[in-house]
Amino acid sequence: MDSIQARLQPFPQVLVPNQDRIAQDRARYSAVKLSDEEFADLYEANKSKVYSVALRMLANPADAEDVTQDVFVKAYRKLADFEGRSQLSTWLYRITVNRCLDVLRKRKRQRTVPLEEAMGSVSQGSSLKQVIEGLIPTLPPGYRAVFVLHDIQGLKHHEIARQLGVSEGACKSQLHKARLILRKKLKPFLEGIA
Amino acid sequence: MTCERACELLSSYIDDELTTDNRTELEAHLQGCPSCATLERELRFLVRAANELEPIAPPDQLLGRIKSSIQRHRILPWVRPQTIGWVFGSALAAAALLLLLLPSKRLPRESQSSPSPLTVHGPTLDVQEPPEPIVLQPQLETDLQASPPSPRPRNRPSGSVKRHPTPKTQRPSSDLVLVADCEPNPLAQEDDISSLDVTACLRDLAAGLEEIEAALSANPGSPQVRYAYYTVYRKGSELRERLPEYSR
Repeated sequence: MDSIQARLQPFPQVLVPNQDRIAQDRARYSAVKLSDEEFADLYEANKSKVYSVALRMLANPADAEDVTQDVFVKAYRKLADFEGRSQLSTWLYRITVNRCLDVLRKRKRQRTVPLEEAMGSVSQGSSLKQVIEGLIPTLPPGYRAVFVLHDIQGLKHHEIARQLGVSEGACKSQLHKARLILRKKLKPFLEGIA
Repeated sequence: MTCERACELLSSYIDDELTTDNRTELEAHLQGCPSCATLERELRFLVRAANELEPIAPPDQLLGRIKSSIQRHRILPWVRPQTIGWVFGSALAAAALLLLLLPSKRLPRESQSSPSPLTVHGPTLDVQEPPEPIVLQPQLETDLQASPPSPRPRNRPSGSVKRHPTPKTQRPSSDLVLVADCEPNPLAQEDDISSLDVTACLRDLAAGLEEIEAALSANPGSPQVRYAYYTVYRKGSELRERLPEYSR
């Protein structure tokens, strides 16, 4: 029997269920399990934040709905992973942005929306805000994420940097470049206004 | 301050994140430089407009979709903690299966039922000089028994593989003869492991891992099944490492 035990020794630990860990997980999951009402409240409070980021990142309502669904399903299942060191909405933003970047990576050919096409959706009488909405998808994904999170959603640089896994300096630099790109494309609009 | 430096600082200036010194220096530059002042004004206007963009609400029916998706997740077994072992086991088995299938050359199933020596038919390579038959010594088994799960040495042991010279003019047999003294599963019990024959699984690694994965799904807590999985997985890795023809 000893020889058998010796041979089982290098058995991958991941395959051997750790009963203590399972018990801890069970206690943890049951402690933070949301009721239907609690989940509905969580959804109502954050649905627009999540969906707005997803839609502006992906420029596709169907993809944005899928991402929003993924985010809330994951939030429901993984609420135990939320350590409370940031706001819940910040945690949701992180899941959302990561998911959006995954989607953008998985798109076989990253389709950059041409300026003419983006501007085509904007009529002559469109406001500057509508024009900006139309131009956001023309930004590179990294710049887009920083611009959406900082200038639209109002997150701080250190929060965005942590979410995107970049330095705060890189985050500021990307935001500045995103603004310069948008300002260049919006030049005709801004000249008469600003 | 140059215009280039001023441009670099403009976003931080608009966001009120500049140090006092930089701010003073930049403001002095803006007063004397109309183009930078215009740029600052336009960027500030753009940022203000972006700040005022309204949140967009998702369609009303999305909540229903999310709830039904959660409901589906609730009944999936991997949500239940007691089946974590099953999940990990299946995931690893699937990963191992993929690992073995990815090299695009798959070990064909051996039709013979003789347990040892094992004969595995290698792929027929479309090259001018087909690979020579390779004989693996029984050391394979002793290596496996003694070695911890550390990475295999990169240099193949010189004594472990013998290459038999083959006349180059004659197309040699593409058979690869694997001499692996596969002992039966020491944990095997008739009622549990009867369908899992390590020797047979090794004969066709891909099919064997599929079979073991299915057994893991049906009986996740069984140390016998996990032993069989482990043995076949490790031996499969050894096999691929020692037969580079299969790894291409």
